[in-house]
Amino acid sequence: MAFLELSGLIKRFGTVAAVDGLDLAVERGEFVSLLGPSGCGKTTTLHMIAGFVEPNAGRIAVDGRDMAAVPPNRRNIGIVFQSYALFPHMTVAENVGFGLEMRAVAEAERRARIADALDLVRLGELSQRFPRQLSGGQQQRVALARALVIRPDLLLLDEPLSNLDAKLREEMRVEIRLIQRQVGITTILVTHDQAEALVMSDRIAVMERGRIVQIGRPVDAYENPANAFVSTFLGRANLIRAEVVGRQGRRLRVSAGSVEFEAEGEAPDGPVTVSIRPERIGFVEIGGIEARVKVGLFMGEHWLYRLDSPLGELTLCQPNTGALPIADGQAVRVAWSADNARVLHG
Amino acid sequence: MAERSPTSHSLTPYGLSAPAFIVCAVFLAAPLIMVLALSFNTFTMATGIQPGFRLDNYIEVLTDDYFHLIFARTFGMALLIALIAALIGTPEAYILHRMAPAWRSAFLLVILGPLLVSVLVRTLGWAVLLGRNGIVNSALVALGLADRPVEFMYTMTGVIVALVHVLVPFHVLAVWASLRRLDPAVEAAGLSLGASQFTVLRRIVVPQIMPGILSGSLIVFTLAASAFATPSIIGGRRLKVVAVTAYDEFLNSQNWPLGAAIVTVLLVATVVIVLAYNRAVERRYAQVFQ
Ligand SMILES: Nc1ncnc2c1ncn2[C@@H]1O[C@H](COP(=O)(O)OP(=O)(O)OP(=O)(O)O)[C@@H](O)[C@H]1O
Ligand SMILES: [Mg+2]
Repeated sequence: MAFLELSGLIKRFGTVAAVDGLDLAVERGEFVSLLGPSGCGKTTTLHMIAGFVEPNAGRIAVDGRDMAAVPPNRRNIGIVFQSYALFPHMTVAENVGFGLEMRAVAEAERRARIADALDLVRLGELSQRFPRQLSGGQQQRVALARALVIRPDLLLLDEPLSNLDAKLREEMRVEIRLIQRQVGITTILVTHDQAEALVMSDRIAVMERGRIVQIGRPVDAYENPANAFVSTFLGRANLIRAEVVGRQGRRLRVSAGSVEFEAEGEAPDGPVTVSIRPERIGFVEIGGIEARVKVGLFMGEHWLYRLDSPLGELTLCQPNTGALPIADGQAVRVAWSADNARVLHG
Repeated sequence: MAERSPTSHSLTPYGLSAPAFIVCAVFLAAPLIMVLALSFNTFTMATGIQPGFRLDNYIEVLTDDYFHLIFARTFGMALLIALIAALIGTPEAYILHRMAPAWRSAFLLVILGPLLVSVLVRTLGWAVLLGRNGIVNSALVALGLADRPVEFMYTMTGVIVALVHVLVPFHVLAVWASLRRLDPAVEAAGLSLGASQFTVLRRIVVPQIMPGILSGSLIVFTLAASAFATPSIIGGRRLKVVAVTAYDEFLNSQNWPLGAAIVTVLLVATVVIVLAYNRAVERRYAQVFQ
């Protein structure tokens, strides 16, 4: 039995279902991300786990114990809010110590644990500051220390990095992941940043309209998206409407417009959607299909080309090797291997 | 942007605030200065008001035990009213804050109700309610809570009840404004760390809205200290407060200079209290004020 089990969770606000039949099982020590667009019910799910929001239906169990009758202050769950929610009238040390005080931890042990927690997030020397005297990144680490110091059974992170600048965000991703490994705590991260989910998680649960549409290891979810929504939400994808015209096992022959090509997957005859990642398409001298460069966008470590092709607009991603980029308007030929053209369900 | 000349730019704020400035100067500053000037004149029954610059009136107000008693009564009463209004208004504001929006607007109207009624009507209403044979006393006697009518009229209790009633809304509004700035996640964070609902209120909510509670109390205190209609109708002449005393000097004794001096002392004392209080509060709550 999994450590955290959500089954059939439903939460309605008025007539709209914010969470609409959500099932999720998280193993002890696992790091799972809930990834999805704004308004898909991520925060609501987290708040139901923490006990701030009561579900209309469904079951939440932690370590086999039903949480329905357990009030939020008895759940022993550490939560880092999107707004950090630090206590502005308390110092960093008082913020971190609050949970210990509530657990009646003795003064001496409390001080030691506060110091340990602040060392863990590398904030030892700021313990006497007030939250407003800290930068966004420092506040976020205080919030993390405050949640970890109570040694919670479960750590919930609600878009904890969304207010940070790009550089700090990348550092904190790694830092949180390392702390989580070190402490070995079961963690759920809510985010709508796919890069964050890919880097940090053991498994990613992609949500759409209050449900989980796919859950799996980051590599699996990226390589084998369950549907068009997942393929465009996790990374970029060229989606091509096509028709299955022949098959040999999992290798399908599809036709789109005037072009026929091979793709990987399972689907009945008829219309399908084929997904091709931009980095899996390459320029070729001969063969492939004809296309014309509409615009080349410089992204630093790579170039992103928008192409006009018989399949419609294609996006192509090329590593920046220092070679001269291809000029706008130039006629080119592009190709991909059949393995990298995925036939999607629905 | 570029064509805007620096002179016109720097004059604009003055031009825009000129009408308000003139209104303030004519209707606030001028009467105040005239009252101040008047307070240095002298008065005798025989001669009436004599122009001049003498401190006689101030010396009288500051040394006479009669006036000491009146000032002590006024500020003591204002302090008590501010305290009671805080004890009633703070929970009231929190309950309002936690209500569903539809209910909240209805109850806000109920809370602000006293302010919508003319002060005279409201006070006479209280006089009817609190009178010897008023509804409150009839109810108290009928319920057996009192064996004979309780004296409310012409007592401090009556004045305090009536003033608290009208001043509580000011406290509620001040506290509610600071509650609205509160991040709801902060309360949730307190709960998740193991605090009970009551501990969250005491340790997390109240300290953060303390500036609102304190400034609400200050508003109530100053309004109570300068209240006139309620103390004069319900308190009567036996329980004079400063404003009533000044009124009597002006209109009954015709001693305008003494009345002006009383008013000036009240104003200065109130301003000093307000400033001292503000400084103390700001120093104490510097970290919450941001
Ligand atoms: N208290 C509430 N009252 C009414 N509707 C709500 C409430 N909280 C959330 N909702 C609605 O429920 C849906 C899901 O909200 P939720 O906050 O869980 O989204 P989210 O996935 O966290 O989005 P975001 O990425 O923008 O934070 C939204 O449509 C939202 O409008
Ligand atoms: Mg959210």
